[in-house]
Amino acid sequence: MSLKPLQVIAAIREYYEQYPACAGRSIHKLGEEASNAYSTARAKFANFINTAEPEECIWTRNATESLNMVASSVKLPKGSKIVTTTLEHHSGSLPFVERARRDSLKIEIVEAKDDGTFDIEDWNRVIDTNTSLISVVHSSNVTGTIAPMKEIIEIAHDRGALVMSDDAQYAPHHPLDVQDLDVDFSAISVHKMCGPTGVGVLYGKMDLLKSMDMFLVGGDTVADVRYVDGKIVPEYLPPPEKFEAGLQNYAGAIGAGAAADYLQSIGMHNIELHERNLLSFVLKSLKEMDKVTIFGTDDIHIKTGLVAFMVSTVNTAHDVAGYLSDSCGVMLRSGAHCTHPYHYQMGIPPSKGTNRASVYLYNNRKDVETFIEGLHALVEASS
Amino acid sequence: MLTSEILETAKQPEYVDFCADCAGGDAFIAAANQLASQGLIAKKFGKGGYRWYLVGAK
Repeated sequence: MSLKPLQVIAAIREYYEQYPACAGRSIHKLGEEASNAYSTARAKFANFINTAEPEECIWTRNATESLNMVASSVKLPKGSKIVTTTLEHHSGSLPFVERARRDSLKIEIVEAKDDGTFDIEDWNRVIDTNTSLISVVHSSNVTGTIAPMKEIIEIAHDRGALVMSDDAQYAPHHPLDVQDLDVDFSAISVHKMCGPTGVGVLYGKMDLLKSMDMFLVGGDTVADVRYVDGKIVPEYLPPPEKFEAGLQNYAGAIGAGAAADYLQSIGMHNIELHERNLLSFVLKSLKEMDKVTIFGTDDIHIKTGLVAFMVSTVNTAHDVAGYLSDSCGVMLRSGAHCTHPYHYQMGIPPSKGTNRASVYLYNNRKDVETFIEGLHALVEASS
Repeated sequence: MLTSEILETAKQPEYVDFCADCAGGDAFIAAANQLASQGLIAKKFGKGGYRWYLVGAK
């Protein structure tokens, strides 16, 4: 989750106050305004991640839905193999585990190293000509480590496999150019990038989106539904409408467009640099504390602005989060962060968990100092 | 009880009707904090982490 700038809140409020209508279907003035705002929001987001055309951006509820949409609907050859990793958020692995189970496909897991990085040779070994799809997290929501995505995509495409990138953690913090990356699918959660909750994006190359099976069907997905010889015969619209069934979260989409505008006005390279500077300070400070263990690489050039850690004087990560929230208003995530396989791999029971401290464009050095001081006080109080 | 003890106890079969959460235990702790906000339980931070107790008991 991220904080929301006034521009995003204002855009959503404006929709609800000035033109709270349905886009794409209502033939009246407010409907026209809603339609314009909705399509403009899609174009803004498409520009944010540099798609070839706006229609390659499908609005979803979140990255989880985006990942499920691909897992359920992409056509995969019988007997083929899906590859995923131990570092995935459950939303990046489970939809594909279920697809493999449902369609009797093979599934192979690439193990992340303890520091959250990958050995490219493991990918080279696992991806073969029977591999049909890879689901990989671009930036881990636990370790912050950035996967060698370009290399993985190159190997995958060379062997005929598609790549689904979980960009929920990556897109808010780094410039993302889906054309340059040549990724086949990307899942993004807007709530992590200064946008509203309940909206996400699935990016897909248009030819792939056109070839996918339906996910949710119903109103707004159809060009026509005829009743012929006792049968209901639908004719489905092309993407994006093909995948956007029912009344959409227009306020959310408009807010997402405003979030994309906001981040672009600051510049994703500037945000990335700001985070790296703060991250260096966080890592340096934590490394100086002997009761604190850091997880993930400390190479800030392959790391998003977050650090997972444990405190040896406290039995469960939830207590660290509770103490810091109560004592100094610093809010961390605690637990297993929906990445139980990685925690099990590291020998950490999910109930013990880890803490995750993350920095973003609105954090500053003072915030980090407050966090570190609070952590020192916690260690003293719990020893 | 320490937080870690609460999390272990909550997973036991006799509490399955009351306590449903993922293995991370996030919802258990959120529920405990809610009970604390309502004054029904209290928590104190010390060696090992938080210790929780019924209000009126220590």
